[in-house]
Amino acid sequence: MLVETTGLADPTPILTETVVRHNYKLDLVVTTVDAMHGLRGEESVKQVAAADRIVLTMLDAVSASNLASVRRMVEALNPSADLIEASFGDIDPVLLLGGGEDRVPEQPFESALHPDVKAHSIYLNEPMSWSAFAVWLTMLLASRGQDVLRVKGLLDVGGSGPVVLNGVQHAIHPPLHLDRWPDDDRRSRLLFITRDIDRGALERSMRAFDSTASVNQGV
Amino acid sequence: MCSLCSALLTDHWTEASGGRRGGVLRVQTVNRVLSHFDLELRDWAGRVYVLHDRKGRSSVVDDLGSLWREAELLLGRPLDPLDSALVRELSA
Repeated sequence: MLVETTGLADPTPILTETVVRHNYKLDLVVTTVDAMHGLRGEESVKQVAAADRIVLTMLDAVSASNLASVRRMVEALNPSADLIEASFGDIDPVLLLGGGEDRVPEQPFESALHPDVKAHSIYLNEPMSWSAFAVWLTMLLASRGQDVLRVKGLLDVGGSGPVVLNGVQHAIHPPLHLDRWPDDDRRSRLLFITRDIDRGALERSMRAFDSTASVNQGV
Repeated sequence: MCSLCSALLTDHWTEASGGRRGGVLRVQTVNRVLSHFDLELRDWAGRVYVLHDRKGRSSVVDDLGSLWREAELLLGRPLDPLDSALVRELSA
């Protein structure tokens, strides 16, 4: 099922709608960005943050330098999304709707092109307790859900493979347990796209919650 | 919302790992956090979890998602995991 929203839609209510969530599996979110006007308004920032794939359009109407500027902004806001350029709707459907990579940029990474919204990557060298992470993330979303635009990545919880996480604000998709890691890098790697939240505070808090699980000898 | 939809609401993403032991450990972690705010989550008759404050007030909690909403109602303010005092206490 393909859902096309209006240009000003906030993606979160669609992703969190109960009947949709329990009857359909989200495949991917595709966002188009008009290269001539760039990102304008809160909704466009949320749409880029929620995207797995971003298509830059109106390429013929902008200069190379303006296009590069919009591209840099979009990449800084959501470094994990596939970025495709298309003119007059000319795009390979497989490229648009096919499978892609789940990328979390190498740390240290912190984008700073948008005044309020930033992408942070957090890498952990040791497994984290799933219980501690679940408690932490639900608490974060309850208190700061409007400011946590995206959470995605791979979490090492001590199993043979990682847990795949993907969330847009309060909408956390059912975590997926993989039997093995996709590559030789066995570190947890999480991307957060947030508004007015410091990366250091995120990591310190997450580690503090994980330390409680070591006391509990937790999962 | 129809009764079918409300039944589906008990399926929370945090239950995806750990099984029964994971559930117990989540309660232990939750109570370490809640103690900072003078709140406590208790099991009632093995059937439901009830959140208590020091003033004798309580509320039933369905899952982690609703826990923090109920805690905020009892406390009168959001519980922020980034709060530096909470982070220091948990790290100690």
